[in-house]
Amino acid sequence: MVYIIFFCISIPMLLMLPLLESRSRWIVGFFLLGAVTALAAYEINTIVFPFSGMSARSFSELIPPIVEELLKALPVLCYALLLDDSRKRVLPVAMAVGVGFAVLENTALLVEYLGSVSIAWAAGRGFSASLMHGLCTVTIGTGICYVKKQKKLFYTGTFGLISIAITMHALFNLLIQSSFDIIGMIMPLTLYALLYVLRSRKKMKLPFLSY
Amino acid sequence: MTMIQLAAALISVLYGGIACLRHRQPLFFKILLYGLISYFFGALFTACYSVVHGGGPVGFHVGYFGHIGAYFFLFSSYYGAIDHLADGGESKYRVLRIVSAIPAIVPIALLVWGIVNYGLSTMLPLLMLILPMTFTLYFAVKHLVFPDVEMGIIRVMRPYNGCVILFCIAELAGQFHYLPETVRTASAILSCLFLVLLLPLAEKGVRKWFI
Repeated sequence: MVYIIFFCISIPMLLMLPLLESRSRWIVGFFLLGAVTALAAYEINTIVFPFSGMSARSFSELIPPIVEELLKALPVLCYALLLDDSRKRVLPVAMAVGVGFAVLENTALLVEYLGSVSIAWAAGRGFSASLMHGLCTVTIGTGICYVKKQKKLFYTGTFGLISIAITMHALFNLLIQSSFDIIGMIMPLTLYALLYVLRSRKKMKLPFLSY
Repeated sequence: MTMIQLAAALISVLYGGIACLRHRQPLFFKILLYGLISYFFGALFTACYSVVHGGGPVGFHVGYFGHIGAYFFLFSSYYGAIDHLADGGESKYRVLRIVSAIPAIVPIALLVWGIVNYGLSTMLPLLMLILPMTFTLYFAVKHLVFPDVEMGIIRVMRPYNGCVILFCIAELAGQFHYLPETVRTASAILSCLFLVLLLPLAEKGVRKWFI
């Protein structure tokens, strides 16, 4: 089913790519790559789960955050290495990968639980899980920007940023499946608002964040 | 204990955030702040896990990534930001570089001892933590013993480097399950204390860079 959804989403978007202007084409292209990483993550998680010996809930709190964050970082790393490592280019591409991942995941879940989903569910997923995927990839992307400019910072800083992204993702998965799901839903929005405010303050230039 | 760690990390993150908003801080300080954010997320995950599941996580869990990330950022702050200012690569300081590496043998030795006695699978999670910690310890010791030839950057950071060494030792002692419980508890409390002291000491040092 996931493959059917993937083809339904990706083929029209692929056909649209030649008509787009350069920057939009990259954004839509990486959105599609995000969907491809979601497919890869789905396959890896499906293979690893029976061998882990964990319950579905414990598994979702440990393995998918690691697998998904590492997979989402790969297209962003390739873009920065091969095409352009400027922050203005890398961060939107990273967000596109994260959102592309989230769109495929949300659609797959929608089809799986078609009988029980509602508009509130869709809005909740959009503002929480989707935003979380985007934010985590942007977090890693901020370190990937240094891949050519400051290699020493890139090597060490990116590992640190991947650790933050994995922890954030796992924390979200932990809370959203518990009775504290409201906190889990609010967390990505709060982090997004915080990052937006910090970024818009011209005075404060953070090494991995500021444009 | 998790709540004390969480409180210590929160105090540090708030202090660092306010310090960055009040004054322009060098890259070194900002990378440190990222390290403490990572530590905070790790502690937050562990605390939330305890609340949600009614008990702390057993074995390897995502909370470790917060600690791993913190050490990668600490390592990054030395290796990527200030080491080239402290060490010009002169051959006359080769002995000091070798001497600085001696304390870094301790975590590796403890890890090897643990692997021999308790098996690789038990100690594997610690391996990921101890690698960046060893590099951090090396640079902290190096910057503590290295002569400050002309710029005064290293001299003013000595209290901070001392604090990093103590923090690494306290964290290390708290991680090995084969050490006595009292030692581990005392180490965990001390590591929280050193964690809170890290940013104020770093800020005190970096402020003198601009005098």
